[in-house]
Amino acid sequence: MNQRSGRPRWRILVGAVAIATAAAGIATLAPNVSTASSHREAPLIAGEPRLDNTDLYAFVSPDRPDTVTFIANYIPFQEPNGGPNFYSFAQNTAYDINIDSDGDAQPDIIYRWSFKDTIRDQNTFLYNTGVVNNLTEETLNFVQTYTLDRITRDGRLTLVENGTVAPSRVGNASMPDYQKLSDQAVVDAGSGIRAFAGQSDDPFFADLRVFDLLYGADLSEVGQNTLRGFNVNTLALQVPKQALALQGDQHRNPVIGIWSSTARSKTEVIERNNVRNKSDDLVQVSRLGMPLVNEVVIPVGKKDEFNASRPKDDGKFLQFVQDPEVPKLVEKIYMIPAPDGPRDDLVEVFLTGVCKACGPVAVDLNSQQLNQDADRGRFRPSEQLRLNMSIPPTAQPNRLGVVGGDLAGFPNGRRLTDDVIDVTLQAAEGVLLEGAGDAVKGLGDAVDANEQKFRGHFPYVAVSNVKAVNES
Amino acid sequence: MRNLTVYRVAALALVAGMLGACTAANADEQGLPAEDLPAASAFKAGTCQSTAQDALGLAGLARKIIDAKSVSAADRDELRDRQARIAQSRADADEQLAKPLQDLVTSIGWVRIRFNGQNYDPKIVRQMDQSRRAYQQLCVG
Repeated sequence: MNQRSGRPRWRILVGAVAIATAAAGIATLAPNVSTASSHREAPLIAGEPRLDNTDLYAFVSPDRPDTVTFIANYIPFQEPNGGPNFYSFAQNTAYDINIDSDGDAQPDIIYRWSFKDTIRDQNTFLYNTGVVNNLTEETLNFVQTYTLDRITRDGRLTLVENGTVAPSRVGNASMPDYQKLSDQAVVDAGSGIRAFAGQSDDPFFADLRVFDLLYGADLSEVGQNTLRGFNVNTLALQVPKQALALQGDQHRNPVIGIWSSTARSKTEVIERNNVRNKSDDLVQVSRLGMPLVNEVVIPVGKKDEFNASRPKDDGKFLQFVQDPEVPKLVEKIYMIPAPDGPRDDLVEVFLTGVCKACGPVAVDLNSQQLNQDADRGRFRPSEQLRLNMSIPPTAQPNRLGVVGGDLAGFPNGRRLTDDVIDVTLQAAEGVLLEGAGDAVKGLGDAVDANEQKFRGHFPYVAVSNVKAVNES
Repeated sequence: MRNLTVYRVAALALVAGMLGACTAANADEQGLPAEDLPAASAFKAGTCQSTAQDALGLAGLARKIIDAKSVSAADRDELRDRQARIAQSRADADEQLAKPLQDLVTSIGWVRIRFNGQNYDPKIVRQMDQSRRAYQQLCVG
């Protein structure tokens, strides 16, 4: 049987997936509609759900392939009927999507959302005082607006001012056409940029009984999408590739790195009447690039620190990527030897991006070192979601992304349909290594897709659920 | 453009992948090849003899589950228990048997995890059976 060594089988593996995807993508660039991390992943952020970034996605927009779409979700496990105060973004908080185009592990561009609450009528307990047919309707009692800024070394540019957040979906009596409200929240920010903030169906699909001693102690508790029926709050942004690429040249410099972060007031003073006075200085409390890193790679004693850390300092977390825990758990239960370490294959996927000069997975895919104008001397390994924007979207995405033959998918960015649980489990068990064999390629949690259909246009996420989760 | 390199590598690999798929398809016939199982007494003394019943039991179990979509709790328990006993015998095995034994233990692990994870593939049982045959050959031959 297979004894997996540290030698990569990616030359064949990636190759086998690559061309089919590329060819299909070039042949058909039509919009595609598909028929779904980091929820509560660290002790402190579990107590601050409004700041808890659950998932980050980045992909070439299928219906506007000259742009990239970013989606960041917050506030996990929203039960649709969780009123009367439903689910809102936090005020005095910076919700950032960070872009690193030169690979120095520092943001070259920050897209920042800042939110403001307005309650129209303070003398009612209702979130809405009547039917809400439009975002501007006075019957929407709780209104949240936002400013979206683009921050670079050259300064701050406001892209959206007073954008309206799509409200929480209260129910069919209150919001008979919620899809319309959600679509109204899409803002054209000019220069080809679109923005959205609001509630949506949680696109992440997984069986979270993984935390029950690894799926019931023997991986037998699988096949149930734990996230089904729950909502999240979504920030979505669509930006022309040119505005993201190093030196504005997406042809010479097609690779970008992405991570999201949230930063809250450093201090909060609670007055006797429960008024909260928050300081203006912000401190980072959540961070997310590649899915599942802080959830299952970083140990619990380091998770809060990871959430406060910067990619440029990721060297201190290197050992957890090189020597991951999951394969050891599998070895204990199934006596399947964990692949030999140090796991440079995982380091390449998670910390450098994939390129011939990056490590054992010798394929040029998605490291910023591939950017022709990048200063390779300043490159610093760091945990980011990396996307090669030059790879066109696939007409029929494979849920296993690159491992399944589809270079337009995870870990080259991440689409809503990518099954990151299965891919990550297979990667942890050595699917990228020489001799991985058929056995490892089929591993997964038996949850292969989201139940809700994604929209075929921006912001792509499915509209939020209205049915109670405990209603079968 | 470096991206072209990706596609060139990919093109070569696609061909390799297709060849591999053809090979796999030929080997993917139903069931397991016929076999006259030796008696347990034919296994050499020592580690071989102590694992004989489990090796032979695995042969029967493989035939039973090769085409199954799921396996019973009793069969899962049997797999687990046979794997545990074979794994225990690794400590006393001589050098010649060490790798075949380890391969057998690992291959049983893959069958277990794939059945439990609802992503079973008959190829995995076939691989377990090949590992069992390889070990058995050393023990009986």
